Amino acid sequence: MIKELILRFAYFLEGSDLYYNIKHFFYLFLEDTRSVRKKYFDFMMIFLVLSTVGILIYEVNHKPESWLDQYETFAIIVFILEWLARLWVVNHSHKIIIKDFEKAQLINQPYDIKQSLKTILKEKLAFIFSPMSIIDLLAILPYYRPLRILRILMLFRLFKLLRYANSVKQFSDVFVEKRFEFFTLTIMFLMSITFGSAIIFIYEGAGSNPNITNFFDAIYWSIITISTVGFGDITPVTIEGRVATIFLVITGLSVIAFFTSIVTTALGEKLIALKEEKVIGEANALKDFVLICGYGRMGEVLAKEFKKIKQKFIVIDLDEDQFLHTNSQNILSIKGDASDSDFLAHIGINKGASSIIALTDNDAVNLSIVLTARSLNPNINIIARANDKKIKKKLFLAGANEVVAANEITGLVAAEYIGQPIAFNAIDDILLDNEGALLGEIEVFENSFYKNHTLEHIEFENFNLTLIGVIEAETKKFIFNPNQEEYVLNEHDILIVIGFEAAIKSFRIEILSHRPKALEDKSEEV
Amino acid sequence: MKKNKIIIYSFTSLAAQIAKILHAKKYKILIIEENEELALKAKELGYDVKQISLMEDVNIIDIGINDENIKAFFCLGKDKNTNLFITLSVRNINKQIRIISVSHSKQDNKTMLLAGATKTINPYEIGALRIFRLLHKPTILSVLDDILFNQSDIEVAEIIITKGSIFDGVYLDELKSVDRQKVIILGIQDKEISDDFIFFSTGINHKIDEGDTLVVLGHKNDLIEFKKTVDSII
Repeated sequence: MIKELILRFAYFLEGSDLYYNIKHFFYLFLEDTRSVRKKYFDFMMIFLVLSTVGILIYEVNHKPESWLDQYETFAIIVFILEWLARLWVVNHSHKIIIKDFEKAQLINQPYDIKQSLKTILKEKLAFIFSPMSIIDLLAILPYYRPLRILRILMLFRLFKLLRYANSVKQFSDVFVEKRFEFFTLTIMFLMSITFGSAIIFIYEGAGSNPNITNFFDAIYWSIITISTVGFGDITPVTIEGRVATIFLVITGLSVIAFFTSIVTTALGEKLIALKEEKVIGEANALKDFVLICGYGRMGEVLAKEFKKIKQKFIVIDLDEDQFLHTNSQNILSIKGDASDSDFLAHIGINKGASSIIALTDNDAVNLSIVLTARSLNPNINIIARANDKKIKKKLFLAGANEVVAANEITGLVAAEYIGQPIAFNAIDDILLDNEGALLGEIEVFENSFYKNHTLEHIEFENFNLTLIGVIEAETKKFIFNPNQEEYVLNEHDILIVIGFEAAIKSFRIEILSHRPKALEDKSEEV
Repeated sequence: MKKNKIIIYSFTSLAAQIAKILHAKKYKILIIEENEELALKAKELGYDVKQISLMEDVNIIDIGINDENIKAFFCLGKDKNTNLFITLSVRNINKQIRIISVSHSKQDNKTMLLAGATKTINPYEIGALRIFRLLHKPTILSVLDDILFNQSDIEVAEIIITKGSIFDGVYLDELKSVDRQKVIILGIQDKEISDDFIFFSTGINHKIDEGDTLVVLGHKNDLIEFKKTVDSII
């Protein structure tokens, strides 16, 4: 009976969008390091932790005030709720039940709910006894009156900060990653301490040194000496003791040097990782951005053009120099291998990227980037650079939407220039989008007055525009210089015109409008 | 006689492209290449090849730089400094020749023009801008490709106004009604005001004189017809 109820409830949760939405909402707050909400939440928690610890310090030599107590209560409630929410989002318990149940059905065995509950309990316990959860609990505990004596445990709340400040966490990871080095260091340290304290205790602990009465004094002295702090409250009086001091100071220096070098190199490495993580975080927050893989001369020109129209983009380059170069130009960039699928996925090729451009000067690398990108995302727009014209076909085969062979296109341009330099320069002007005239595309929309009218109705001269042609909506074909008395405009036809930017803009407004101004003027005249 | 000779310095992959396209357009190509292997490759492709260094003025004169039939000199070497040196030397010997030099950055552009190049081409820039347009203005790019690279019979043509032409002395404004059905007049390059190209659609009214060049878009046959009309003398 109970089993059936639990099963039903599990299936109910599985089918409920609301439940998932709510859980996801909390997940974003608590665990998703890339969500903006988490950032705000973290700030609030940091404030709560610091303020309650501040109160603890304040109350050391001040009378407790009631409103501070209330504040403390509030903070504790928040901490408890937070912990419970974390316990909740850590896994999907109902899924375990469903999975086990369906498995049992499949092999025609009676379903044992205890097994599922055990798994659930195991997963929850794993969370409860994880270091961060223990810190959370220790931060809550002192509030319980009989445990007031443990008030000092409130300082554990400071450790909670680790959870909220991502970068602090990264730094603490350093110790985990370099555990082998730290282990060696600790052994060396312990050995020296034991050695030093034993010598001093053997030679001076028997009464020759009044400051050393037990072995703890000896250990205390060794640590103070090896760390080169040297308070001077205990000093050796025998020759043997002084020799031990010399030994400890020398090892002390090397231990410190070793320790510093481990920490600095580890932090240095972490810093790069941190920065990359930040760029990836930013990338994931972006929408409709372009990935440029390879930042050479072409990449530079492209980046400049993108900046002009405020198109968002991210540069990926494997080369350290190019990477630094982009940094100096204030370009969002990541050092990495764009043909590595994990890397591309991490950057967000399936999230915000709308296009990817393989722009390295190595055709094999470009091919590999195209293949990787296409395998990850079948819909993304891929443009590839072909340094050798012969590779074009292969790039298309790999899944590129467009392939640009710079030499080929430059050859065509040069040949065109040779034939007709003036005409070419005119077109070049249009192409370069300099201040002069440009080519504009203007689409005819549903509500436009000009829909179902012949081109004759549009007085291009009045707008200082020259009509070049129309791209027919239905066939997507370009019709050059159509007969203006005969061609009837359809919805989604695109007019291609030449003129200045301002003229194109005002014409666009005219085409969009339901009741064109030009015709209104005419009717007034009538 | 129509100028139909092209000299290309250095047989790089870009040079190979240019040579191929111009060769197809019936230009006579002469390749200057010092490197034995590349020179051989050019020869195999059927071009005239001279294997000499252009660092000496004597050699530049020797390849026939002062030949009246030369349409253009392409300076496409790999090394920027050599290109600058050769561009300057060629300009020094022949003041009229059209020199097209390769450049790889905006800064190179300036120095190359200063050295005497008529025009610079930057494959990186052209390639990058093409990618940019593929993303940003794909429609326009395909229209331009159609027109520029002869994928259709729509062409751009330059028509020089001869003395006594029906357009001689006419205002640009008056052309609006001319043959609108067939060709599109893009604009005009004035002989006197030098380099500034005046777009038809700017609204500036300009008097057309002998020697000005009209730039016209149209189907091949219509353009031939139009040229006949322009050339006809009243």
